Amino acid sequence: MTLADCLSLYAIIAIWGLMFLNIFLSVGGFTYMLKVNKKEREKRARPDPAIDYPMVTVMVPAHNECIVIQKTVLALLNFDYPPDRYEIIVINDNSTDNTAQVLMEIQKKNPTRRLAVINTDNIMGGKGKSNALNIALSISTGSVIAIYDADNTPAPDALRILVENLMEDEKLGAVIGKFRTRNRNASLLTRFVNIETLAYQCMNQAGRYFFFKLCTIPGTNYVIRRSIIDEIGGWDTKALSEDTEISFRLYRMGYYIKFMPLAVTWEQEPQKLKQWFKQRTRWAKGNLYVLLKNFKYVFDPEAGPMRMDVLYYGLVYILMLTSLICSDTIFVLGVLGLCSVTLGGFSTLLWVMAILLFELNVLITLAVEKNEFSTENAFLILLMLFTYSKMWVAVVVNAIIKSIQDAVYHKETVWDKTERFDETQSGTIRSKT
Amino acid sequence: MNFSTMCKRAAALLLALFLFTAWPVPGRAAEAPLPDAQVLIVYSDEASEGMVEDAYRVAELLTYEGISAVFAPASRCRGELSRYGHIVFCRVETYPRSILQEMSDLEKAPQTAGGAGRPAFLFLGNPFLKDYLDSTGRGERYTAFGEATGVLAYEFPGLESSRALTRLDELIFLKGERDYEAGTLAAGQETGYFCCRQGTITHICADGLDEPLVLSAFSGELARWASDGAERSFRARYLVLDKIYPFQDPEQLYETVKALAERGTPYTISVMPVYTHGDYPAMQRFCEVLRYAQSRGAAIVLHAPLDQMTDLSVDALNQAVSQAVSAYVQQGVYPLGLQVPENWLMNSDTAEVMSRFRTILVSTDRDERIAADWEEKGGNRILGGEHDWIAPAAALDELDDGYAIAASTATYLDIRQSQFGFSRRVEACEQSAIPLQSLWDSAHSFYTNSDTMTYGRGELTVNGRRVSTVFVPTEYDEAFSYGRNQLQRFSWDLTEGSRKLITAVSAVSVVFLVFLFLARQSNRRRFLYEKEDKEEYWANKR
Repeated sequence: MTLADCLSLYAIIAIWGLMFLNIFLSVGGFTYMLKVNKKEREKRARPDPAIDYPMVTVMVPAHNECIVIQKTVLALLNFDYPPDRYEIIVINDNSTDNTAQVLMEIQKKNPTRRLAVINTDNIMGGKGKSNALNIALSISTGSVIAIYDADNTPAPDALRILVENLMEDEKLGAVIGKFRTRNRNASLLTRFVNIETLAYQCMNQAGRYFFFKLCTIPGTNYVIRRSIIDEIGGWDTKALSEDTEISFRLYRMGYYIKFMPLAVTWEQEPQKLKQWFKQRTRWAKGNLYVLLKNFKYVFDPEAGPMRMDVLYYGLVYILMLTSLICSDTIFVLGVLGLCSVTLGGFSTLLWVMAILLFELNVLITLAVEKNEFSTENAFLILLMLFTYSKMWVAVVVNAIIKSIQDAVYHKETVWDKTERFDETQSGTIRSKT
Repeated sequence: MNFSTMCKRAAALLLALFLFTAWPVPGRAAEAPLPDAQVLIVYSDEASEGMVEDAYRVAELLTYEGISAVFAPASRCRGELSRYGHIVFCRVETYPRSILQEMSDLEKAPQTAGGAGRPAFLFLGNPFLKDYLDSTGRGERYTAFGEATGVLAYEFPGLESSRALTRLDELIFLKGERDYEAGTLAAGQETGYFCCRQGTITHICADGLDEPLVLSAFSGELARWASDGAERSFRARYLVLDKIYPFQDPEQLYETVKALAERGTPYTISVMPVYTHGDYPAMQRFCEVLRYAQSRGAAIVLHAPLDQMTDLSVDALNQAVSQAVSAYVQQGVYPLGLQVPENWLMNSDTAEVMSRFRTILVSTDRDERIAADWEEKGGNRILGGEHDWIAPAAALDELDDGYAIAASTATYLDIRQSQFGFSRRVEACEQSAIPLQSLWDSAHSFYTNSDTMTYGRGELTVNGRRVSTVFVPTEYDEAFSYGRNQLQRFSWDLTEGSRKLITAVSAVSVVFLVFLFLARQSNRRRFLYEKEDKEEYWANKR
């Protein structure tokens, strides 16, 4: 058995293991989605007068978001949640564009609404999303905190559905909704992101929740109990993935998180490769930080179900990364005639079957959405496999290198904001950092 | 239900009714005509496995003669007999009565100048010939003896008469004047012929093809009949050292090679394929002996891949053969042909693999992984007509000193048997009336994915370059690096895992397809009747 054989064997076992884990989650996710659509859709159709809706603080961290912030705040003002029972706090975090003016205009036009804007400077603010959220927390009055990113346009019923669910069980620490890609038709990249979002964020969350009552807060479109945030002392300002970090802490406290796909928000995704690469590198760095910080809990029986989540993240980042690198390297070397696999029974059929399953697996996640199950997307899934997944490998490798550099040179964690695009003019894209 | 829905349902119902009534009923379609061939072999309806095997055996013997043959059960041959010039009725027991009339009509047909119009019938076995003669009012033209065991005596051209016991099923002998007669068959007090011809009818009364003498005698008579009575002479006979494995101790092979070279016995070495590590010292030593043998007159053939393969597709087999040929060619060992198990002739995939080699040696081994599909694919025509076949010799005595006189034959020897036994068998072959020949005396060629070879008139060309078989000793690298490490001590076979994976993938795929259907149904209910169209939907979301 040569080294190429060993690496191939490892790649085959790892990829197929992850594949079946994903299939398992998709089966659970699909069942959960159907169940929710069947039983909850009617129930959550409109506000229930019998419910005593709690006070909610909707927080929106914004740094140079003048292109998108107006649409976001207007969508937040358009919630069907009782207007006197929620406040909106936008943290205009050390912006150098005219975000402040845009927000002021909205405030003027909606004088009766509880819309607060905190403008921070480079001393108080500009230190990342966690810091901005902590500032907003200090003046918030709600017993429930809702978080939305500045590029979101949530559906009118999103907040109400999230809060109604949160109120149904005291052990629920947070409820997260579904996010969709608002600009999916903008470029090939956004089409990929749209499919990835549905398949690997939405369906996986649903599957993990269905089987294990496990979810990870996605960073936007979620509600969380104020008491929990107070108890944990606010958001961890060192974590780039503050959402993943807070999810783990919440499970350790004995709460659980619910996924509610009926609460939908639409967000803008990077339209250009450079922005996408930057954003995903930040996510990967954040997740690696959280993974390293929490990996010890895998062996701690008192850590509860989060152990499984940490393990899941570990599997995704370690197994998938290494196995993809191994298989791709062997494939390239094989094509160049520099190495060959001599495993008995090894054939391309294994890879063909893997591709078939990948295609079917992603297709069922698209099938539950409107206008997503199409031949075009079926083709895109195949294309993704050979392009987008390779880009993911590059992202994670880059994140690992950057994390090591940060650790070696003791660099301070900086929130690298994602560039926004103006979607108002069809056919043209204006970018703004 | 509104009017529109009612109309749609009515239309759907009408469409369903139309499809139901207009859909062609499977199985009613007329069967395709049998393929063209020089010989049609008719076997019994509801034939036992042995009967079908005998039909295949007849086709195999015709293959060695380069004669195209198709075969089918009797009922499948109705209306088809007139298309063939030679028809073998192989142990037919169950058949449609109409076929007798068809045969009778053909027998009465006027013979044209070119010989067309009246086919030659060969009856292997007795009951069907008896039925045929009875049905055409010729009951007095034979003598019947019932079940019997007889002694076959058959004299091959140039040889002493051979004798063997054989089973005889409802034995009959044709009476009257015979156009041709060969061999004798003694059953009880009666003695008759083994094979005779009366007009269009040729009768072979012993049908036990498992008996080597019957098989040998039959092969000769079959070849003679199929070539319209042309006299047959012996063809070549080859001595083959069978299944010589690479990496085995070369000492024994060297001793055998040396002994055969000293005796001046022409022989062939059939080497087993090797796919990797062709440069290992053990392989070099093995090939050095082969090169020595080659330089002393031995011919080399490659044995077909057997047990090491799991993927039996044409591409995989071709790749394996190519790798094996390359491994030997790189060591200066030049295979002249391919040795295959008997049933490789009966499968269209293996036929395609063999098509790359002109010289094919057939052994009596069977490859259990290969299923016969030649009946559906056009009989022995799947093998093409470009091969020089070397058939396995039928064993006539305890020394395997046998032959199938109609074709070139090979006698396979195992060098792992005792030295005494091996020497006796070699001597028997040498003393046989059929002289041993060398493969170097005839032309050969092949191509693989990576190599080509042609041999003729003493010139051996490999990959476009003329090569010599003069022996040059190997210079061994004493410090050969095997590239081994801890990992290489382990091996792994994914075959079983792959099978399980295919099952799991199939199951998951079915589940996912059901999910897709359910999701589409659910979405249809949720979205289809919403009044917003796609553009409005997206506009709202923005």
